Amino acid sequence: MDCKRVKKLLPDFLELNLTEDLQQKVKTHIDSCEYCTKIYWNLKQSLDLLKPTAGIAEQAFYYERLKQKMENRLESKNSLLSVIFSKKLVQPVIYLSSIILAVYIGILIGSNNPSFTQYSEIEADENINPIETFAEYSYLNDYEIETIENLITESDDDN
Amino acid sequence: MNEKILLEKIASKDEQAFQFFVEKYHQMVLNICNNILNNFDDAMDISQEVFIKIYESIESFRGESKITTWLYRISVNKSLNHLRSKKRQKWFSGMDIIFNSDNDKNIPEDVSPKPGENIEIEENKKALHLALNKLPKKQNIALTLNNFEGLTYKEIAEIMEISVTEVGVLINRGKKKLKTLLIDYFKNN
Repeated sequence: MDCKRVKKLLPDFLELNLTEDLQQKVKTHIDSCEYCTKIYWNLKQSLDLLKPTAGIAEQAFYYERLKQKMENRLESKNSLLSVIFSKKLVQPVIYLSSIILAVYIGILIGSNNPSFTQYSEIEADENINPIETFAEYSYLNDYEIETIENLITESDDDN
Repeated sequence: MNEKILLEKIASKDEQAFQFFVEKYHQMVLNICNNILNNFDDAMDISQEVFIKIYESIESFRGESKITTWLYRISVNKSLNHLRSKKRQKWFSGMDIIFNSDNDKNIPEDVSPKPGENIEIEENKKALHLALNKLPKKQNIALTLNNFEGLTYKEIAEIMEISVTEVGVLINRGKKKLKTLLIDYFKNN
């Protein structure tokens, strides 16, 4: 029997849940293997600790400390400022506001908001013809832009 | 003093009655918190929270169960909430640097055995509590109440508000898993 199998059978070995034969085989292995003996004893001792303990003794001045805590809490409850600036409130507010700010900036950039283009070289002027502006920035001259009427006339001529 | 009268007096904010109540039950509450949290300072803090909660909401106690059952229930819930908030604190620990406060709380707890204590027993205790904390919460609570507090399945069922059969299943599964976790721990250490 190898260590791996013994490790698997160890919980049932402790509870005497194995067959007589298996129980004996595991015992023989544990007796001869230092590594498994150590695991067995540590496991046994740990499980032995699973029992009602003496626990913590009665605490002197417990009520006095509790009363002090209750009074302190009452005082801090009355002080609105301390509640507002308490870390519990400030921390999530800072987190939330930075997330909202980041999302807002993202939306502004994404939507190409006029407020972002107001300082660009293309001025928001209603009199400017968008086609001319397009031509100017696409390095086209006026002759390269044909009106729809010309296009229609040309196609009629072709027919 | 009769418990019913004691609770009525606490409800009417009688300080003497509350003091009597705290002195009678604080050891029990402190122990259950300590068994779940495995940290005396935290247990002290949470046990006080339990009594504050009782003082503030004594009217909600309907008297259908024993006062100890109610105390156990509040202690278990408060301790579990504390463990949850501790986990959350790890998420926000980065923010502490900005606030530059409570930095010493991030220093890992010294779990090394104290001089004069049996090193092996302390090591096994540590392994046991680590394994218990790795169990699903319900299994951990059922095992803790059954083994450390010595409560019966019926009492645990009342505290956890589940059936006695469920308690049995939780304890059996918990014990089985606990052994596997302990073997893994000792194998790796």
